[in-house]
Amino acid sequence: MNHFTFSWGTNHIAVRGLLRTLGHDLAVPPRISPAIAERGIACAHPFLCFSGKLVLGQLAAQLEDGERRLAFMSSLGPEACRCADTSDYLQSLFSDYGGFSAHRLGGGNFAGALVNLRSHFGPQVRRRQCFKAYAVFYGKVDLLYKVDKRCTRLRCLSSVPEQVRELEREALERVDRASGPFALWRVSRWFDRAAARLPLREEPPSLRIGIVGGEHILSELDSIMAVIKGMAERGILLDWRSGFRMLARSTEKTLAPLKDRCRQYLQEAPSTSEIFSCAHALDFVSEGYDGLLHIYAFGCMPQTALKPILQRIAKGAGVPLLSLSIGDRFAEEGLEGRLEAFIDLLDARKSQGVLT
Amino acid sequence: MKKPVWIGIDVGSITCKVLALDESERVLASTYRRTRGRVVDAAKEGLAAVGDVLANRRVAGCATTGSARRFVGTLVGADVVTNEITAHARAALALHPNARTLLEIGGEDSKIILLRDGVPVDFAMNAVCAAGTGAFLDQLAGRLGVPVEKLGDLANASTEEVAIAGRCTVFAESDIIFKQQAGHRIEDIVAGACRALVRNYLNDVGKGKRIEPPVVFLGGVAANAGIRTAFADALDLPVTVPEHYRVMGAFGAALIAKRRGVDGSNMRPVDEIQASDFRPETFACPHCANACEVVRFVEAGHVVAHLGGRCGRWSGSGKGTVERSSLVLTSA
Repeated sequence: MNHFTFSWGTNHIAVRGLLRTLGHDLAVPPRISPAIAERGIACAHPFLCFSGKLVLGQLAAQLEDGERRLAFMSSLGPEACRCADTSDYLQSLFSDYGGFSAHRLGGGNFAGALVNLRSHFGPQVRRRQCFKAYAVFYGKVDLLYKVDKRCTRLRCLSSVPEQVRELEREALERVDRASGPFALWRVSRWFDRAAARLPLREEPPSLRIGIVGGEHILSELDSIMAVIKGMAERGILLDWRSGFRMLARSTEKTLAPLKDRCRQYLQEAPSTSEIFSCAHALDFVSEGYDGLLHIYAFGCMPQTALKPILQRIAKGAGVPLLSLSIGDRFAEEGLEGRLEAFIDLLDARKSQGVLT
Repeated sequence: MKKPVWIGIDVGSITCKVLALDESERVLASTYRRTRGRVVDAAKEGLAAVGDVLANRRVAGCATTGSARRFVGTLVGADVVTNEITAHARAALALHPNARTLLEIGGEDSKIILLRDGVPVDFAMNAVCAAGTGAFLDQLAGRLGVPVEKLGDLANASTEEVAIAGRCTVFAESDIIFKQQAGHRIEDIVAGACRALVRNYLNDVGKGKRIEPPVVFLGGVAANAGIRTAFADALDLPVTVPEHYRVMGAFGAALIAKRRGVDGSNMRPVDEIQASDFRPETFACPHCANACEVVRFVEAGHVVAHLGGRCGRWSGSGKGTVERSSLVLTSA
């Protein structure tokens, strides 16, 4: 039985791994593009955040292609947005498409996940199958995150960025093909070795920038991340520590120490996204990064609320912060201009010299 | 041997500025004109306006900035393509080395740059709204039926305070209609709108920024005396408008070209630029599902360069290919 889903960057590879373990498959979601954004804007409530509109655009495109069974993975943490269970909202939004059904996979713990899988695929799903499906899913999530982060670092550190792009492409294909935990372990080992063989630049990174922000926009917005990853190829080390992996992995237990760390900045009951961004910004400034880049979707409430907090953190540490709200149109030109100026500013600060 | 000249071209959404600089960083000529949606023509006209200077000098460097910097950079064969924030900061520091705050309001962009000891330490630009920019004034002038250049004089003739909602240009227009219907004088309405723009700017772009003197106000909107007064009142600080306030982006770009220290430019001869039928065309790359929007520049029936695409496929195609990575960073 074929399913479809939305893409947070490469997360559909992990969802597809889960479904294949259960004998099903997943269509490859369309890539994020201005056309997809337009489609999402057309069907979404205007107050929905930009990430949400991109997701709806992807879903609408696939529904028009005849897909009907939506399977999506949501966060286990206390999220207030679409990482939470949005099945009812989607069901009402797309009620015109006959036969459409939305199914949230996952469930907070193993028992919940098993209940969810059985409600979706029927009572024949066995505990062992469920265990394997989630082992594959989380194995792929972890490996995809590792590939993304390592390749972005390598784009800065390698003397041949084209080889990094090729390595990334091949790694994603291998992760997609891997059918079990052992196969994933082999891919991981292959990736480590291949990455270690890449030739490195002699000079150290010119700047180190820590990226925080909406996990969705960071992981899924290919256009934005392409612009940002392009900075890595010019010798700027980029680092981010959140993303789909964090949302998929986070639990109250793992969030507690991060939340404690941010106590003086965050108010009661912050969302997972806020906790990650705040904690990681604190990490970056304490580790001496040259600048902080805050990227979030226009309309994202948690990240909008976080903006003044990040300003406080940056100001207190004397580290420049650039907040980029990505909203409703791609506007790459304006985005690039701001990023370029930010880098010029960091360069000038570092050399304590006059601009260029 | 002819003396050298450095050219800065700033092509924004509303206006095009071209400036020529001599070896002692003195402005030899400058021009400021409306783009009217025709970027290539505006750049050609701008270069023609400083043509006398170029005819008698040797171009030692050329830089472009502004939102159309890459288009125009390809057309003229720019040596440097830089962003407008860096260009404005560079120019302001040259004229006011002690400046600590730069306010800049352009056609659709507005920005604030904080400087400390001659080093830019922070900046911000307007996000998804143009309510605190020159576009607001254009709309206001259109609504009131007066030339935008006259708004400053009208504001200065105000005698009574009128509050205008300036959070959004649409709401501002509704409010202006209401104030007109209520019988307020046009001068008072314009002054109220100037205060609304400044309020919007300070609450949006300037939010959380420590604005310290000396404050320097740049950009075409600095010509408006009403806005200057509104800034000085809101900040309770003197606001300085530099000599070349309208062309500071072009000035900064020319300075950056000059300070690269390379005497010798790739800029095409001006008569060749003027004769060029250079035009941009857009297409969707068919090679993968990304369907990237790629711009190709066509001249004399041939594709001379490409711009855009995420994978690098279009890099190296066309004789003057514009690669993002090779042009974007002035400091690289």
